Amino acid sequence: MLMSVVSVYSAPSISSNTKQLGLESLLITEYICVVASSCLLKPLINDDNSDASTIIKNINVLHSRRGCKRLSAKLVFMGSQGVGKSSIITRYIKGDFKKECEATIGASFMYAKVTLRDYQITLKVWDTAGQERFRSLVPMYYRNADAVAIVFDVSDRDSFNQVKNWINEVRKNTDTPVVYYVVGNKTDLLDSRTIMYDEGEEFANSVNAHYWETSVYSNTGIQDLFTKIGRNLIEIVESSKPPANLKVEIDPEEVSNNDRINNSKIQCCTN
Amino acid sequence: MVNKIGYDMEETQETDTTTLISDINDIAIQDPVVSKSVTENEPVPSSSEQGSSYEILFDQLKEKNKHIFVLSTAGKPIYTRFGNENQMASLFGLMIALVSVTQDSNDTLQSICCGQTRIVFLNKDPLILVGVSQSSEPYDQIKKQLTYVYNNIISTLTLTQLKKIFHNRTNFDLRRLMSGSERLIDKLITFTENDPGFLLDSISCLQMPSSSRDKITQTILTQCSKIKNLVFGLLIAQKHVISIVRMKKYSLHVSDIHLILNLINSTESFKTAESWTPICLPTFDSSGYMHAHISYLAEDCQACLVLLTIDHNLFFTLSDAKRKITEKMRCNDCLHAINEAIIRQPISLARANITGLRHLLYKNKNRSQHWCPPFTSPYNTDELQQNLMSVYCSLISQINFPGRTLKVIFQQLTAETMLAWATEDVELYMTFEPLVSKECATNAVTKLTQWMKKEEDSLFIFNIPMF
Repeated sequence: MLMSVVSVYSAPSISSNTKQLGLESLLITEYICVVASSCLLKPLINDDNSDASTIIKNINVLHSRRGCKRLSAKLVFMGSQGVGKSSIITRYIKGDFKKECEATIGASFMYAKVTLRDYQITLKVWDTAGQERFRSLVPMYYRNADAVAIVFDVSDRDSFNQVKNWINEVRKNTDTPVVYYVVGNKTDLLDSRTIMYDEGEEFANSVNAHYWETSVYSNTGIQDLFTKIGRNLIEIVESSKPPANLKVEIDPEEVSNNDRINNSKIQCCTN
Repeated sequence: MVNKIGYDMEETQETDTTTLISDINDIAIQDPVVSKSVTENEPVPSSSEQGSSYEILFDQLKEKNKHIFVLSTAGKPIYTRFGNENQMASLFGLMIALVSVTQDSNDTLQSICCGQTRIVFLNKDPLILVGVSQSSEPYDQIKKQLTYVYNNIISTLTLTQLKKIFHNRTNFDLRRLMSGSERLIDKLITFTENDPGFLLDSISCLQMPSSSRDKITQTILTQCSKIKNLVFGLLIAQKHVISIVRMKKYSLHVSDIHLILNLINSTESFKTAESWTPICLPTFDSSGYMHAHISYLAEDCQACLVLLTIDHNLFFTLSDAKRKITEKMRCNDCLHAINEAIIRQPISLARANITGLRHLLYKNKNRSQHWCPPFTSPYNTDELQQNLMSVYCSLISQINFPGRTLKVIFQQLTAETMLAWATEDVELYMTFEPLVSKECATNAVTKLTQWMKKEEDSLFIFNIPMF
């Protein structure tokens, strides 16, 4: 059904428009539609090209007709300092990239939205600081996490070696099923890259985690990272024994949730 | 005339520092134990190489007017304002040598004065802080700067943790734990050099009608009073405070507010997301962390709300409170009032209409708040403003000299006439045209005091409610 909607509302216009915004993978394949976050939607909707906004609106309408399933999950980013945790998140939510990024102090909190099949997933994203002095505080943030992304820098072996410690620590301190992602960032640094894809993947397999690579600089893999995490969360929820902390709400009232997120200050689009 | 003094100063400084260099070399040679303990991890260059590289290093350091160094009592470098502390092994070695030599005779090294250069030591076991100033700042001022830097380190680590670390490992490299916070220290030192709030131990308030301020404070208070374990709430616009609320029996010290202001003004990322940050307020309680919920009110209102609690599970409660505060403020026009106050031209001294008065600092002593009007002609350049600030600095330290009750200072300088005037409630530092008479200056005080009575409602925060 979704497929047909997309084809009716002229795919060419959406591709040109989204590229321009750096939103490469507004994937509309396999009935999957990734809608970045309401933040990213605003520029799309405010854009002169109304085709894109019409599509998105129609997709939303479609969802509400279907009885949208709402899923809220906690996603925590961890990893050594300077590997690009904050940059990945800002790239996904705000779509921008700063070369000079100051160290996160403590942790920051944001909402990221992923729309997948008939699910609307609200990810409560915690971006933790990588500095050693905040180590002792990190448990406070990953407690009750549903998904954990441990980021390393593919050109920095130390940060890669740290990943194992992070995973062990989270395993030890949580008892709910957690989606683990090992994320190799900065893949654009071809010359100084020391951890190759195979090594990263092999390691991730050995610790029962998923492996994914991203580059915030060249904006690759970012959208897909969040989509994949979303898909894994759905798998868990739809499994025979869904955990108590992950609950699907089926709510025909589309508007209320959207509004709540739009009003919250962290979203950049309050007008 | 001024230039000439500057020139002379430079010359004396140069000779002083040269003596210092030769001293360093002497000590490094005479005291092999010290140089060993500091350089154990560094490759040791041959002595001639060492000599020339130090010369280059000192040439670079000499160009800067103010240096601040932090090291551990074991002699490990922790922080330097300029340059790379790894290249300064023997300089840090000299500092620790000077401190321990005096300690051996059961004494504490406070400061060294050579010509225009002042070297001040602050011994806060397990840390030693050293300030070097070439602009003849008062000794107390440098010491206070060092205390601020020390407080900033405490605010990131807590005193308890700091003591524990060095108790377990005296040779610990603290830079590992400090990484990412050096920029906060850099910014804090710049703040201590430029901001009248640092000199006066006071905060500056965003100027706005007191009715608007009360409405804002009330909105924050209504939300905050319901939350258990919330201790302080602050609303900040750039360098100015808009509003403060607090829990009964607790109050925020000015130097802690300065640390919070510095943290917020030097961290851009607070603007993009809600932040949940552990922070220790050294004057309030140096032993533990408080948790700060930091967020800007709205995309279209760049005022930053800081909610401080002792409960680390309170994030979502505070996040919710913040959202309600913003909603309420949008409805009752407070956001608009804040925006207007931020954009508005700050009140000018010309409005007071006092002949010959160029600039002033006004401190409300009971409230620990000050007003510093914008600099006007002839103080158009950074350098001239900086010079005026150091004149203020010297007056402030004379008025507040411990054990002395000085009420009035009248000073005729080459470029301006200064009047300092202290009462029970007010400290006033005024800058006049150079040829203004004593009588004229004292009349101006009366006139200004009357004018301030009308204006102070919008310049200061008089209502800091408790819950």
